[in-house]
Amino acid sequence: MHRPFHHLPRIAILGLAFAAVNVVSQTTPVPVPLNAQTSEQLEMMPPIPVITGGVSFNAQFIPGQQQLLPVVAPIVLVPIGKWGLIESEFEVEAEAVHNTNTGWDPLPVGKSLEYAQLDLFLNRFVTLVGGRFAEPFNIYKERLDARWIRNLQEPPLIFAFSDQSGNGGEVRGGIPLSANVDLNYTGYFSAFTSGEIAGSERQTGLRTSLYFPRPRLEVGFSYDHKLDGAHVTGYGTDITWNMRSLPLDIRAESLISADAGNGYWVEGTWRFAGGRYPKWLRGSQAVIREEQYFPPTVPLEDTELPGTDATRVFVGWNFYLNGALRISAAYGRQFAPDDNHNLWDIGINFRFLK
Amino acid sequence: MHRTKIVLVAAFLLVAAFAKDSAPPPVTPSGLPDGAQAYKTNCTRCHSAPPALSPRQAHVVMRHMRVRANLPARDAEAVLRYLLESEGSH
Repeated sequence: MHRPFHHLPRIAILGLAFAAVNVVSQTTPVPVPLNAQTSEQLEMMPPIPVITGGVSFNAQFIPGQQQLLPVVAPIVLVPIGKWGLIESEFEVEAEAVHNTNTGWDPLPVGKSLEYAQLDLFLNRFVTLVGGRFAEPFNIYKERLDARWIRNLQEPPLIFAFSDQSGNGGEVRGGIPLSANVDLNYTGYFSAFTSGEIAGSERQTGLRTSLYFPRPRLEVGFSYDHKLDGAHVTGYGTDITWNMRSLPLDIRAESLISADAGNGYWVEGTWRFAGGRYPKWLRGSQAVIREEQYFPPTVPLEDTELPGTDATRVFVGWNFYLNGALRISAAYGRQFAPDDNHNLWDIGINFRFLK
Repeated sequence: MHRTKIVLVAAFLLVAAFAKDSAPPPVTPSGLPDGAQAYKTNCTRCHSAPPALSPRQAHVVMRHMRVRANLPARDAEAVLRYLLESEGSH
C-alpha cells in the first residue's frame, strides 16, 4: 500500500537546500527613480475596455487513441470608474477523439463561463467580488489554467478537485506586512446553481498565503467545504518559488482530503535565458513534473479524479516564437494499476490583446 | 500524516526565517517599490512578458492582475508605472 506524501520530507529538504543557496547568493539591485512625467500620465489617461485571451490547438496521443483539442478562451475587461472592473472569460473547447479500432467518436464541444465578475476595490487592501468566479483553491485554477500560461498542457491529476467556478462572492486582497512579506487572502461563498455552462456547487472556502518578494517565494494554504451532498472537505497547500540566482521556477500543490483523496504535484521549469545559451535556444523552457494521487477508501461519485492510485511523470519543452506565440511538446508516463501508458502532447498556443 | 504536517510546518518556518534575513526590496525615493523590480517580482512568476500595451490598456490590465494574482495595491501601481515608462518595450 502506498503511503501518501512519503516523498515530501525529501522534497522539503531539497527545497530548503535551494533556499539556503538562493538567499546567500542574492544581491541588491540599484533603485531607479520614478519619472515625474509618468505620474501625471498615470492620472490623465482613463482605462478602456480590453479584449484579451488565448487560442490553442493541441494533439494528444495515448495508446489506441488520438485526440485533437482546439480551445478558444476570450477574456473581456471593462473598467468601471476608478474603483471597479467587470471581467469575464468564456471558454469553448472541442475534443475530437479518434480510436485506432473504432474510428472517430462524436465531437463534443464544451462551453463554460470560467468567470464573469464585478470587482470593487473598496480600499488598498480589500476587494469585493460578486458574480461568477474561478475557485481560488490552491493556485492552478486562478493563475495557471490559461493554456498560454501552463507549462504542460495536461493539467495535474488533483486539478480535478478544484477545476470549477462558483456563483456568489469573494473578499480578497493583498496586504504588505513589511518590506519582506506580503499577505494574500481570499474568502468565498458560492450558491448552488444548475446549468452546464455556468453551474456551481454550494460551498465555502478560503486561500491565504505569505509571499516573500525578495526570494520570490510564496507559500499558500487553502480550504474548501462543500455544503451539499457528501459535504466534501479538502485542504490544500501550494508553493511557488522563482529563484533569482538560477533561471529555475518551482511550483507545487497538494490536496489533503479524507473525502476526495490525497495527492500532490511538483513542477520545475528551467528557462534558457541569457547570453550563455545559443541564440536559437534562448526562447525555450524545459519542464519536468512529478505527481501522485491516492483516492479515498470510498471514491467520490461524479468526479474526474482517478479511481485508483496513480503516479505520473512528464517532461516537456516550450519554445516562444515571440511574446504571443508558443509551441510545445511533452512526453508523460502514467503508472497506475492496470493502466500504465505513455502520453504524447504537441501543441501551439497564441495569446491576443486588443 | 502527523510527520508530514510537522515537516511542512518546519520547512515553512525555516524558509520564512531565511526570507526575513534577506535585504528589503528596492524602493524609489518616494518610498514606492521600484517598478521594474515589482514587475520581475510579480508578473514573470506566472507568465512571459505581455504584448505591448497602450497606457489606457495598461490601466485596465493591471486592475485585472491586481485581482487575479492578489497583488497589493502598492505593487500594482508600481508595475503600472513601469509599463507606462517602458511603453512598447514588452
